[in-house]
Amino acid sequence: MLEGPDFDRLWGIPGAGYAGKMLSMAAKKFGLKCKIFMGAKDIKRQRPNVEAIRKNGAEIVPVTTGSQTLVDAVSECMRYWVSNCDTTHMCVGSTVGPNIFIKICAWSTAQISRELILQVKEEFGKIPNKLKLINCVGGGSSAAGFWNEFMDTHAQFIGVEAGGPRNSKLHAAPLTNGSKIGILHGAAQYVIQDKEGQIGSTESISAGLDYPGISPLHCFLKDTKRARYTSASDEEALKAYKLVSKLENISPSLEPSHAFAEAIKLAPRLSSSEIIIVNSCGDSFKDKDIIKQKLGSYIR
Amino acid sequence: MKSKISLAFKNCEKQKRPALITYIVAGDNTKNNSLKILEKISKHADILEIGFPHNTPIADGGQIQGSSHRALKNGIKLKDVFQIVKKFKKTNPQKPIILMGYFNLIYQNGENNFLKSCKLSGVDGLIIVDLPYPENKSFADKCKRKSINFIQLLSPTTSKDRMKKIIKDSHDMIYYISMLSTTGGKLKISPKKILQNYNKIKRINPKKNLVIGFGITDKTISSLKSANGLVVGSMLCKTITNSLKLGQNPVTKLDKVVYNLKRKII
Repeated sequence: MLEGPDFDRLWGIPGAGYAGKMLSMAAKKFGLKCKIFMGAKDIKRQRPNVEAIRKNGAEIVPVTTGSQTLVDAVSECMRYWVSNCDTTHMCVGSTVGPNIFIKICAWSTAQISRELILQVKEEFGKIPNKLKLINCVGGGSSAAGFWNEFMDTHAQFIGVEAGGPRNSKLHAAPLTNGSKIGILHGAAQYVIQDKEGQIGSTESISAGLDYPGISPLHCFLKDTKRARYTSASDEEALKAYKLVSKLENISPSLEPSHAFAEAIKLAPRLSSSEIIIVNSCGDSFKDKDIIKQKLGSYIR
Repeated sequence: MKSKISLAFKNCEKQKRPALITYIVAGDNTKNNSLKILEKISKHADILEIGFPHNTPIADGGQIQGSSHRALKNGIKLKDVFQIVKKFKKTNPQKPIILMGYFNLIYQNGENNFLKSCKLSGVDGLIIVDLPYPENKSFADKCKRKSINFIQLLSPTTSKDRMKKIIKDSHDMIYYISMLSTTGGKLKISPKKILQNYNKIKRINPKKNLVIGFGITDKTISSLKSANGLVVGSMLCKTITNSLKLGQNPVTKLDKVVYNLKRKII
């Protein structure tokens, strides 16, 4: 993609900062200039990732318009890209945006399930009859990658959106809460919006899920009933984070904590022959400030 | 019957000058002021573009974002935009009005419903920034059946093959985006280069009215006056922003600015 003398820059947009971190590493490796667009609110709440991006020599561009989160960062990155597309590639760290960006992202993240399907076969000798793959969904990149290779199997897919604070009307769960189809960032998708078609505000404890739309891929999986979507509240996600960190040798970030919350809800109702796999698609270190603020302390 | 947009271009051609096309956001800074502004500047401008604001305007730079934000904060709704057009058209039935905006508002309103309101209020044309060719074909056809101009966009990165297709399916006016930019960017390529690209497009079909927009201000407008039409938007939005900051009347300020723009192209 980066061959040719004209292209010497990469610009990207992460929500929580993972994609930005990876992109800045790639840019460093190949000697490219790299700018990462991030909502000012996300810069504050995802400090560890921001520091890592800067360490890799990339420039962080704070986006101060609108809600100062992912939705505005995507808009601003697109604006910069149309103004500089003769020298610059845009990288979208989620399965959102115009067609090709969704494909590039989903193809890349599908590596997760390419590996997972081998591991599953090794562990169980085959794909278990009753298998549930649970993943959080914001833009939907990690879920798309987690599920991709299982698409033609009988595995059940469960996507968990960000339900927002329990006592708030705001959320980031367009599929669960019946948002209508609209057009955002160059794609038709279920999107939180008002009657007029103005994009609605969102709220979530998790920066990576805090987006009013959702990948058209997931809209399709919902409409065809291939996947089921539900949501977990901020409180449920925090509780799940606490429990998983205590019992397991992992410490999930607040995004996959939404998926763990659903697994915890679901597991007691299942028989022992059913297998659940949760994608712990992020580490809690980047959320340490939020967790400290909400739970009083952060221990790894 | 020729459309009002075609007639406006014909009229300018007779006077051997480009059409002056202005853009303001409906409801910036109030509904009343929008109407007053349109009435004032329509004395100098040949075609009036009116933005129906969207809160996620991905193609717009800071100035138009600011105007959209102000208008939405004042509670502007689509029905108010049509009200403004209707009131304006009552006293200026011949002046072409083009609505410009993002597709989601039309999609939520319903395409047919939206076009019906356009018809009832007297809208002559539409520019839908995020509905590119060929995805816009069916909507553009619907517009044509209602005698509303759907205005196609071309940019410096549009390939010649694609240009030919777009021009073939275009109506009475085509909009050429001068450079790789959002609205209101500083003109980063020379007017000479812009006109070179412009002439290449004109050669594909010399009969089509081709206008240039993006980055045009009072400083650059005269150097582009060999085009069929020139669009000025962000500079007008900036004028509103500045006059509000200084406590001046945006209506009289804009009147002056547009008058000056006109003087530079005759």
